[in-house]
Amino acid sequence: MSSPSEPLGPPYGQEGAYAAHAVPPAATPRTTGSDQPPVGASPPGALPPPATYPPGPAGPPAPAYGYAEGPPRPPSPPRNDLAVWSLVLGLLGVLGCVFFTGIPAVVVGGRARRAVAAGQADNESLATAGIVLGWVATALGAVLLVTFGVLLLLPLLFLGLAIPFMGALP
Amino acid sequence: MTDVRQPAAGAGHATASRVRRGALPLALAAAAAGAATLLVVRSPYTPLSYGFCPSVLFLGVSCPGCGGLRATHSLLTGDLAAAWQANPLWTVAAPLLVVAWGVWTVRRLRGRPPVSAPTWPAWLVLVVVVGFAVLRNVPALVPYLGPAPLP
Repeated sequence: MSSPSEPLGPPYGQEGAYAAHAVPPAATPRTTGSDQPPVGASPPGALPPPATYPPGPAGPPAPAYGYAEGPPRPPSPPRNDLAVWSLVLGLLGVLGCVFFTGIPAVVVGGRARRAVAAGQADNESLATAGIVLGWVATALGAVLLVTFGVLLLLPLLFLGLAIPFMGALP
Repeated sequence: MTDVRQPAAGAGHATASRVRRGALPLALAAAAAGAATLLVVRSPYTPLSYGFCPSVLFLGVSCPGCGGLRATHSLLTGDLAAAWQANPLWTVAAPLLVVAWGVWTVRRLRGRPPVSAPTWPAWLVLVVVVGFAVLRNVPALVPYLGPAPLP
């Protein structure tokens, strides 16, 4: 199976270290297609604004709580599902589905981190966990494939191919 | 399988980007079609035709995917009952995966953003798969959930 690496956006580590704290550019609705990464997530040289809570993507007016201290809770970011899917796929991969779910976990986790950088999600640690688990699952699958597959399965495959002809042996 | 609809206007440049966007789904589909062809031609019901599952060999338990090759073969040849007997979870999940692939491919080809889903289906999948793995190894449930023994 081909590695589903998508040419979707910048590679990891280029999203900008301060992207999560910057004012989310997703305040404007995301109208780009799935292939275009949200440009201008954070200019490389731009200093982040002082640590404030980022306003929610939709930014509803703050309800007037009687004794509410601090800023209002932003609504749940719209793309938090990506990191959760990455984590679940990575967990399934470690639990035995190896690279069949490990590679999707890495891909979805990368998209989740990009969503965090774009201000559309706030669960980057979950995405990182999914990516790590995905790589562990993929490595586990590779080790299994090499040891088990090459040493045991391949001879069995040839044995299976040879079984129909074994009756012809004297 | 290839649901590529040509737009009436804006061919040229748009077509090139559509080909680029559709490369990954179509490559996955080609790989799946190749595997399906192999599974139809070389039946996994023949003992040792694809070896053993490492989970059965090393741990002695049935993993959630055990019987999956047989279930796929039976699904492809139209024997739903045999597929259910080999792996009920995969019998349910495989058509859903095909539908998900179709939705993903169509949205990708049209350049629309991917589907945004709530988070609970992911946790549901985890619970279902792990629960299935546990339950199909309970001796009383093996006749219903476990992979049927090879003839």
